Amino acid sequence: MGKLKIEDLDKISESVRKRISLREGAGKVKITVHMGTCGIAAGARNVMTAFLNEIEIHNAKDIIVVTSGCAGLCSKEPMVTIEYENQAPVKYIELNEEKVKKIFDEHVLHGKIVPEYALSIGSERIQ
Amino acid sequence: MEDLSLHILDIVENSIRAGARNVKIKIIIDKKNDLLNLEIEDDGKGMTQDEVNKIFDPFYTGQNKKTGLGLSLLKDSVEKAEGQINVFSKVNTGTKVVANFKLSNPDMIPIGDISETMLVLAISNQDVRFKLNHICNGNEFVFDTDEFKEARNDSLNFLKEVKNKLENYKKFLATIKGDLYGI
Ligand SMILES: Nc1ncnc2c1ncn2[C@@H]1O[C@H](COP(=O)(O)OP(=O)(O)O)[C@@H](O)[C@H]1O
Ligand SMILES: [Mg+2]
Repeated sequence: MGKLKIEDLDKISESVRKRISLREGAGKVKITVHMGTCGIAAGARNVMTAFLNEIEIHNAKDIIVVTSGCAGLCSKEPMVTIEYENQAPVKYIELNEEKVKKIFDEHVLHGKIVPEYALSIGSERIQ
Repeated sequence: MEDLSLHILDIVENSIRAGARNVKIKIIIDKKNDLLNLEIEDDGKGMTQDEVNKIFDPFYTGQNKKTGLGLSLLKDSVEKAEGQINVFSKVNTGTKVVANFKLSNPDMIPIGDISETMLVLAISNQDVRFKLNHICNGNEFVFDTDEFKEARNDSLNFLKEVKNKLENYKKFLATIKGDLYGI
């Protein structure tokens, strides 16, 4: 391999920056699916694939989907936290495909919270 | 847990929480020898022997926000199907979970939709390389997220490419389902 050029360094730092921003959630919307081993992992997986289907159908960019452990409310799973840019995180509970569609259309795409499915708004952030 | 694909999701989540950058999953179905062999290997932070010794205790967890049931549930499923499970681990090197099942045992859990599991894992951990080798009676399907490296900076494109590939895996899984149950 030849010597590194400034342009190469720029390229590297650009790609690193992109990757870091992805992980830190600098996308427009971050969807966290809670996946505790609470006997209902199947539900969490279905909810996640339902969100992925919506992303694909709507060609939605800048959406990050991650998983995290149980949020301490196993009985309310499947559960997700939605963080829309510059807004407080919102937890949605007892989800199914239909609810996912509505949350996606209103909250993920347009930043409009769906209060009837929300557990709490602006509570502690979940990693 | 209802099926193997959910166990795999759960065990690989352990690897992710251990900071793995590479996760290899190998599934070998060998009908002749009546055996399903599952191996999940990661390069995460690993465990001490002390930790490994406790790993099958229900409710043992090294983390908060977790229940500590993942590995003990897998052990249950394995033992019901006259199988065996072993965990090998080395600090700062990684961990390998090896399980096998007796296919013909009436309590053998269904395989489930492993393609859904791979989709969820690949999309929610785009900086981790997943490599799955699924061998069934001599036929092999390989899913390697390194194939989609180029698309990693564009998560929508990455999603589409991964989904596309996994459609083929779904077909592969449908054919082995026939194989397994003699349909
Ligand atoms: N691949 C791994 N690498 C490092 N540590 C692991 C791994 N798998 C399991 N462990 C440790 O064993 C513990 C128990 O795992 P598990 O039974 O799946 O329960 P849980 O994930 O709910 O904690 C984990 O919390 C973690 O400390
Ligand atoms: Mg676990």
